[in-house]
Amino acid sequence: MLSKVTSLSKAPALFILVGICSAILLYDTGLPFIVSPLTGAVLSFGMILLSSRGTVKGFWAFSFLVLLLSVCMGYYSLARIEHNHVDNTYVRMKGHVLSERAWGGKRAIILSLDGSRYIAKVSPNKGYREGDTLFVTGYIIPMKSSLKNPGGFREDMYWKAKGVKGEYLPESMKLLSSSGKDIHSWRSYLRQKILLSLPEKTRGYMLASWLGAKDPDLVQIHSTSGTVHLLAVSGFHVAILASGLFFIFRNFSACNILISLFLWLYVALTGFAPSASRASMMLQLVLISRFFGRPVTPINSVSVAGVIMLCWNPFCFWDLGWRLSMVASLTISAFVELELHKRVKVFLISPMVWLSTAALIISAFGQVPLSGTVVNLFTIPLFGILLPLASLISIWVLFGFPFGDLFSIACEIPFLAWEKVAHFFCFLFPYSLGSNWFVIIISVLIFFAVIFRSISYNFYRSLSASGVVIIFLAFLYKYILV
Amino acid sequence: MFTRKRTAIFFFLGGIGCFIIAALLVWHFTGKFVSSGPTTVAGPMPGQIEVVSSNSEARENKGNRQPSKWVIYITGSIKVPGVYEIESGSRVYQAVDKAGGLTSEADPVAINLASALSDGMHVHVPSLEERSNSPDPPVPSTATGKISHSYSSNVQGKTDINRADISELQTLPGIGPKTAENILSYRKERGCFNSIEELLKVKGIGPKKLEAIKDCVTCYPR
Repeated sequence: MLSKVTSLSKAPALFILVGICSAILLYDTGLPFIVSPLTGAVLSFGMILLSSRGTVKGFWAFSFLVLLLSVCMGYYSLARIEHNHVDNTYVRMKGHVLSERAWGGKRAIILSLDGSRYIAKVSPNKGYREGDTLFVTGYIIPMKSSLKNPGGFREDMYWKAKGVKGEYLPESMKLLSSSGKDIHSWRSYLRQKILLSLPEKTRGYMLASWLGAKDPDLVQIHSTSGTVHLLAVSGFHVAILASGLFFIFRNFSACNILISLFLWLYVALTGFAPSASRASMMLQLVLISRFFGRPVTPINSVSVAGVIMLCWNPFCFWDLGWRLSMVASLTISAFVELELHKRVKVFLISPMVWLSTAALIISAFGQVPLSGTVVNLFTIPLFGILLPLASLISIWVLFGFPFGDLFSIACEIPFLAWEKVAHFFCFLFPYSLGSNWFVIIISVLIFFAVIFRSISYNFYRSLSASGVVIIFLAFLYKYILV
Repeated sequence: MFTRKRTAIFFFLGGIGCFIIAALLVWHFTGKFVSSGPTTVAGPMPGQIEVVSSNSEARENKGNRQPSKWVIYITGSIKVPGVYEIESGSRVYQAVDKAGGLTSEADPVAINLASALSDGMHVHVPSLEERSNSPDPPVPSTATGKISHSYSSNVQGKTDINRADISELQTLPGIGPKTAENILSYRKERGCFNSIEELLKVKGIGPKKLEAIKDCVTCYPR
């Protein structure tokens, strides 16, 4: 039996996750297929040793098991990446629109053709909606490989993370029907109802929270205040829903089953957003562990969710939403394990997440607004109340119950007030952190230091272990990625 | 106490050692196959010098030796699709034999079994159903991935905007010599059209003109 002393007993899945992520990253940088998972396992073992102070009974056997799993899952993920290609084919068949979004001057739609997903970029005046059934003719071609530009946007990976296999070049597309009984048609119907029934701000937040669709105006407002994460369906939304469900079903004997059911229904409604899927998976693990009476650590649950998602679709690794979600949730779950006063934790958790995700945000968007450190402090608890309240009012309005208009206007006021306050703080802190090496290093250092501290035993050990990881990453960036 | 401290230090040093080993592995293997070429003999493109397994071998053989094997990728209605090594100078029927032969769904008319192969070629054997759906002939392609087969620019009465010449383009409704020239220069500049809608980016073609010609054109990737 492994004692609690070792990091392995606290978060074994974390080391498997490190192994798989390293294997994918190294394979992407040009390391051969056969070597990447083995190198990932070496790194994983390095992390185990850096975070342990000695052996206990079963340490080596358990380490071996973890590394073996890391290697096997690494090979499996790479094999999935390697075999994800399509041949040039001419198609003439029925297809379903699974999702659509603006893409430059066009609309990008994900089509399901014969069970596989393909991306098509069509003229915006075509007006196809999610859930539509089309008869299509045209060519399927492999997606153009984007440049391996570290930090740059890689379009092919973006789509592949959404399960897309190739690109469909339309020759003709004919709309057959607009209504169906699948989840996509329901999403489309709900979107239409929200757009037609709710006032501006409320509908923007409801579209984001319920369907994962982002209103461009809200994105602009939240980007400048560093709170854009609230518009992505994330663990925050799942946690709000789960709390509500716990409250409602607390006296039911099948409480866990009911919570799981509603939780996954919500995730399906959001279009299986990576961060929502990750959070639900994590919560599901907690529920299962609770049912079997097994101990559970938050950091291990997050890692297990990450491992499952990578095995399900290894291209998730390139999804910025997935990366941000993993980094933020690992930081939160590691931070709550630290031996600090509760009030200090509550006060520091938001800046810690802001700092640990800063490197990713800077590499993707070029800058991260400083106002986010302050605005997030009051925005997260405020939206924790506003979003469920607005959701309840929106359900009332959507069902056409009396006084719906009055309620929806009342709901709009706090959102408008928040906007004014956020603007004020952005005015007070108009600065942004740009692409700066110092900021990136601090961000990565804080992330790894918090992780090591939660699984390790000593502050200085955690800091020096993070230093080792940073030196390795710097080497990787300097000599391999560039 | 001292032993525990020493073990902790050993563990830490072991961790650093693992990171150093990982760095060495990365340093040693990254881009190896890109910079030194493949470890298996892939054979030359017609008229080109082959890439061989190691730098020393490359120096010895540079420019002279023809490889005895070619690598062919064969897909479609054949019994065992996949990548095969085949004697250089082989023809399509030999590749088909190597892949176990045609299946009962294969369309033997759509593929020229006597065609000569080249190294790195992709041979696709269409099925009868595929031919009835597709206006295009089978797809043999070179190692660089570009389709080497010369397609007709007029498929099922439609003009392929990626292959049509200036006179063919002028047969389209509303397309004069100037616009046809603009289409050709756009195509030359960008490589090819990815969709019919991309014609909107050509000077002189607006939504109305596109509407008029879109039923008369097709766009097959080059």
